[in-house]
Amino acid sequence: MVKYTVKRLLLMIPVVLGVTILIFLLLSLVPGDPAKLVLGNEATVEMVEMKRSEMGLDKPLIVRMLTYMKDVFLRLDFGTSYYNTTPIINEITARLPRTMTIAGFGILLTTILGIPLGILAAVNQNGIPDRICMILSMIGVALPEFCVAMVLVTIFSSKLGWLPPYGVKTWTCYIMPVIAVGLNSMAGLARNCRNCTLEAIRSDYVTTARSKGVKEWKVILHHVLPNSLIPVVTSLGTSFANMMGGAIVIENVFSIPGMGQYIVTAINSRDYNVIQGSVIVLAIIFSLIILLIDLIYAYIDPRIKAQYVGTGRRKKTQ
Amino acid sequence: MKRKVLSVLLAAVMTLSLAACGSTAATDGQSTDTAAAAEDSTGGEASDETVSGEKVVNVGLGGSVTDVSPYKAPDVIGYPIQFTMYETLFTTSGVSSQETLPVVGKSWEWIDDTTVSIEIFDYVHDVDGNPITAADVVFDYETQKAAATQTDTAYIESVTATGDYTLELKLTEASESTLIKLLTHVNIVNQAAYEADPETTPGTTAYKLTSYTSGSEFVYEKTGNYWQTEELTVYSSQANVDKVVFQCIPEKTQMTIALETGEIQMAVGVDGMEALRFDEGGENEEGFTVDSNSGSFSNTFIFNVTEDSLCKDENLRKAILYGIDRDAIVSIILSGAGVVAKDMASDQLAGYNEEWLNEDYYSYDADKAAEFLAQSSYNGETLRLESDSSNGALLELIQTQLGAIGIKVEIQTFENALWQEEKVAGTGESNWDMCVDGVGGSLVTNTWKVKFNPDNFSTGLPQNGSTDTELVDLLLQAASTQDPADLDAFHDYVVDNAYAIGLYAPADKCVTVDTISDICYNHMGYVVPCASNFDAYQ
Repeated sequence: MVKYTVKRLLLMIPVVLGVTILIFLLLSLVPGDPAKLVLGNEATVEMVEMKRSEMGLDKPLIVRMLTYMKDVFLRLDFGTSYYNTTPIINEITARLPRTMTIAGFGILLTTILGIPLGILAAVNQNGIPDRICMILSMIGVALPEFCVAMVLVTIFSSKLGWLPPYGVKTWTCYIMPVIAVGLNSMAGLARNCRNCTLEAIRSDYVTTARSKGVKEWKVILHHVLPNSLIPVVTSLGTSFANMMGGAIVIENVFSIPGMGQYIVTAINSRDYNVIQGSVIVLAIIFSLIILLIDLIYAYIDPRIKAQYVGTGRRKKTQ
Repeated sequence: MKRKVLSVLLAAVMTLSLAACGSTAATDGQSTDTAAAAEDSTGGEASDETVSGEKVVNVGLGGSVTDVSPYKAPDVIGYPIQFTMYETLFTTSGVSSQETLPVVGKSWEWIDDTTVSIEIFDYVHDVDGNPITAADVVFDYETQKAAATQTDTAYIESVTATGDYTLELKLTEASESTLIKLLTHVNIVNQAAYEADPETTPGTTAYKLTSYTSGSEFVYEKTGNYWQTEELTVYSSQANVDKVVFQCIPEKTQMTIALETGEIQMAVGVDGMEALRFDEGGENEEGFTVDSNSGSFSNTFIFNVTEDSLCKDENLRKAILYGIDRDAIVSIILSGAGVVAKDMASDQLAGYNEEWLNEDYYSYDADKAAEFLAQSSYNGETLRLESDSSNGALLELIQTQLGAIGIKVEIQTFENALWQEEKVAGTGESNWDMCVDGVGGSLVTNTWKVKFNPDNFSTGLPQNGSTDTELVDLLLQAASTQDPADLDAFHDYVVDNAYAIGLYAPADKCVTVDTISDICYNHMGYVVPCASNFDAYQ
């Protein structure tokens, strides 16, 4: 497993390099002149050209790309924004933990509530608990995050005054954002978990376990759950990625200076350095998340672990 | 199974520690005040007063501010913070005034057509006690010019210190309006202090930045050692509170909730619809005041007059202009927070002729619209109306109004960066017949030049694609002389030819608790919270 992990970590390098090249190329194709946006409407064509030259945008694309990659990967220098002097790495270092806090606790909430709800629904298929869980999950899936967010703010901040409505001053500022992002994915996870659990419950090995007199909760925990978790873990990984990427709405509603807000502002103002730097960092994080998911698969299912370990080796046949 | 559970737990812990690391961020100002500020403003009512009795005001800004350096690009959202932190050489009494008032600079005079001599006060220092000399001012202007974030600095040919507290500024053109802008728009800081800390350089105002969370909160405290005497302190440098906390609240509903719950006592740049709640007759009028200020921004309606567009027909243009009900636009789109424009430029700008307010400026008249439409070459074609994404509702309303007089309109909005390319008529990409575009400035001629100066566009023509040389000649003449007769000539020419029209000038709304009064607006028309009246504030 260690070899496999190291191999996957090494494979991340070409992935990140590929993402860097791709984002650089894509940004060069996007219309909109960052120099003109920085200077504003009153700038003459000559002023815009001078600014472009100062920003290095008049150099050939390949020169700019290689210079940027050298700065980023050899010196960890992501440059500064076109609009201010703050180093981008400093802003990312400040903002990333906030976004990951929301996403991380959102996933925790999703897991803690979503999996038990799904199992409960599956075990009581077509019963009252099943119907209640599915109705709740339908509502959760249907409600957009910003809608949930505004309802939470109205109730808990405006009316009750229990929680701060915005900001990042204390840990209580994160409660409502976490609930808002977690509710939607929890609903989806519950439905997914229910379907996977139902499939596992109908398996022969579960029938065998029951006929041997194993207690029902042990059947669920030791036989059903491990076999139904693979798709659920995949869903969790996707949800985490969605929470990281889709945090912009929540960050805007709750005035949380996170990565989502940073990237969207940069896209609107064509701040190429910020966009590139943020995308590279997010690409690294997403790669690590996918690796983590794959490792979790291995621990849940020994068959998958055997595949990882046996990669590249042919098994001797007897 | 136990091993699996343990592994999953370990993975979860790893994920959580990845999320939690660095939560007290490296770029945020670390200060013992941060915890105190946090305790003061979590949930429920914010405390207006600390135990020692000092006045603290929480100000909500309608966007995110990440940078408070002195030479950054203009940031409308961040201006209240900037004006709390930095001063310029001079200021003026208002947006439309061209008479300077001394701030860091004591006096100035022309030496020749393009060179001014400036003297600064010899006792200026920043909040950390660093003195400001002519050498620092020279550094500030050169750095601002090198940063190239303000277009007027391109007109600086040279700036030289001639003494400890005197300097000479040479321009590339003889223009008093450009000089005024340069004297009132460049922030003054100590060179060594800037080089030591370019991101949060100490300024010369009475307030020091004590802590901040980039994009969220900025805390300023009065130092008590402001360098200027009370008699000479200019209106916008008054320090009437002991502590001000700027909070970034991009979501407008959150801003309203923050006011209602007492989290903030002043909200700058409030949406017109939200401001109605706090205005007379609104649900939350008790305890709040809404201050309205006509700013320097206006929204203009421009025609594409190239050969490719039907709007090259003057009768069609006039029909369209008479068919637009701008009073309805102000009422519906701005919820009444604005005025119908009588020129492309806001009536607050220097050079605006008050007589324009009384003239017939294409007031809505369906009969006249029909008359001109009948004389035009329009045969039921669909015209294209475009703008940036912030004007979607406005375009829909105009589409409806023009539909009522028989003109078919298709609308399209663009993201702001794309709009900057699309809005130039005659380029390969643009295909609009009419467009709505916002503009601001300090002089009416600046506003006009943004639309009609050929030097601003890669096509070498004005934004509307006009090849009318008289239009450009009149514009450049007016910009050069600032003579009222020349300004009138250009204004009348644009109106007579129906090239463009000012739709409206929105009013900036500032909502405060009713113990704060006389909101201070500086020479650029932006709020300076600390200089407002806090006599009744507790």
